[in-house]
Amino acid sequence: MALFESHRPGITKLMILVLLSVLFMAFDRAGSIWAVRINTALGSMTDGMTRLVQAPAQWGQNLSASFQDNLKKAHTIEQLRQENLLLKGQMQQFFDLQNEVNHLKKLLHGQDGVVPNVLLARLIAVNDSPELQSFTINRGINDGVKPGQPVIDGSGIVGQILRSSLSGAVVVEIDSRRHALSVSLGDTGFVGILNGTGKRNTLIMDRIPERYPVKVGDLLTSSGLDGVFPKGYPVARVSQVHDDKSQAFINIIATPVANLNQVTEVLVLTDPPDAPPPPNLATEAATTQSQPMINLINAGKPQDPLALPPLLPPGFKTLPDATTARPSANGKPAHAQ
Amino acid sequence: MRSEWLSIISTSFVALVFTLFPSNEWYQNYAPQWLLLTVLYWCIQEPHRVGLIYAWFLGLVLDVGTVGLLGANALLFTLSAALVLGLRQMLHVTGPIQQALFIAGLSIVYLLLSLWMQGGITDGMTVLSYLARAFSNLIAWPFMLFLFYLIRQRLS
Repeated sequence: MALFESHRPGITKLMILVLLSVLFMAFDRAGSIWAVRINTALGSMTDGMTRLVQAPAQWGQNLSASFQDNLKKAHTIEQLRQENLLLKGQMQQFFDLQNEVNHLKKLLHGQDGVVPNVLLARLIAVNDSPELQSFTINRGINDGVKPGQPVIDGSGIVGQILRSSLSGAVVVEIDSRRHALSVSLGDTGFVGILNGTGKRNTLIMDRIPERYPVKVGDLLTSSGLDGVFPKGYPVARVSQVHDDKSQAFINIIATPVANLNQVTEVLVLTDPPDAPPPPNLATEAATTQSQPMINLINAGKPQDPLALPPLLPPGFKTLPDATTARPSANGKPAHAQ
Repeated sequence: MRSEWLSIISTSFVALVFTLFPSNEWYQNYAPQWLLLTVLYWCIQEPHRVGLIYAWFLGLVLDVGTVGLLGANALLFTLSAALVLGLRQMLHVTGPIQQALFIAGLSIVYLLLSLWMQGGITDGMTVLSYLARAFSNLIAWPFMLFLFYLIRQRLS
């Protein structure tokens, strides 16, 4: 009888499974390729499930869109067309400027920036936890999304790809506790680490030397030093400045520029464009010693990106290939140049 | 035989969907741990089918699905399943309320260990409100017993 059978688990089996779990945890913390593979394989399943759950909501949206007033639709299309024309006009100017900047950069350093490849992605699920604020998007490995790629919206940086699977990808937001990125502070030239706090729309940056004039409302832009986020994208605005007189340091609290509360569509930068190769030890030493000659010599050399591990935010496991150039046109209609 | 596996896998799937269901913050913080409850239920009812390996695998799926530390939930699922399987003869004959109390106590230990493995707690959330999930487990367990009883009746 089933009632009197003992199903006490074997100690060997238990030990093997416990050891396996502990091993996985260690691999995951160490950022091993095996942890990434398991994540991708099982993630394909779970992302597919969230997509399945989200599908009815999507149908509802489509249905309500099809019932919308025709006149309203025509009006919206007209509005969008005008906006498109305006943006295109501005872009022409932009390309011209870009050429000029590239030309000047070539004269200076011998490297130029490329306009990024962006991929439009729709949010399909939000999965927040106290550790990690993240959401799932509907683009995955097949669209060229890889862990470490930056994610932006219309106004600024949203986060970066944490995991990419066959059926979607998980984006970690910049305000989660495990996220940090390198930013430059307004026009002061100070470069520091901007940390997430786990609280909505709150970022902190500690220990800025007092000599830098920081005001509420200053814009923080990505510095490009972390090798993940390209240089010059707006990240956050200073909302509070804590000036501790006894410490000779300033701590600031900043609010992200991107609207993290109402993310519906985001852009993934599938080719992080002008994130420079991580600084070479030699170049850095040269600049601190202010020896312009060594600096010049090093600038002429092709830099080896593997010479120094790039500064990565602490929560991140994989080193993104920011420096390897991929062919820009891979035939995907969603890629805009 | 076939129908039992069907009910085990389908209920686990539905529990996982409920866990990963994109919803508001309140639900995500206080909802019962559907997947854990489902696994423990099947450990008590069908111990020769659902055992440690099944629990371990579902824990791993939960880790991946919730983007947590890989292996953390897998470890805790395995240990919980081992405890429940060890005490199964006692649990199988007790009433639903006593079972629910035992499960709630187990889930308190589970949550504390999970918190410890995640490494700390955020300011906005106290330990007590974090442990509120154990209370929702307590409430959810009798209803789940009833629901699963109906499912098994229908399928067998």
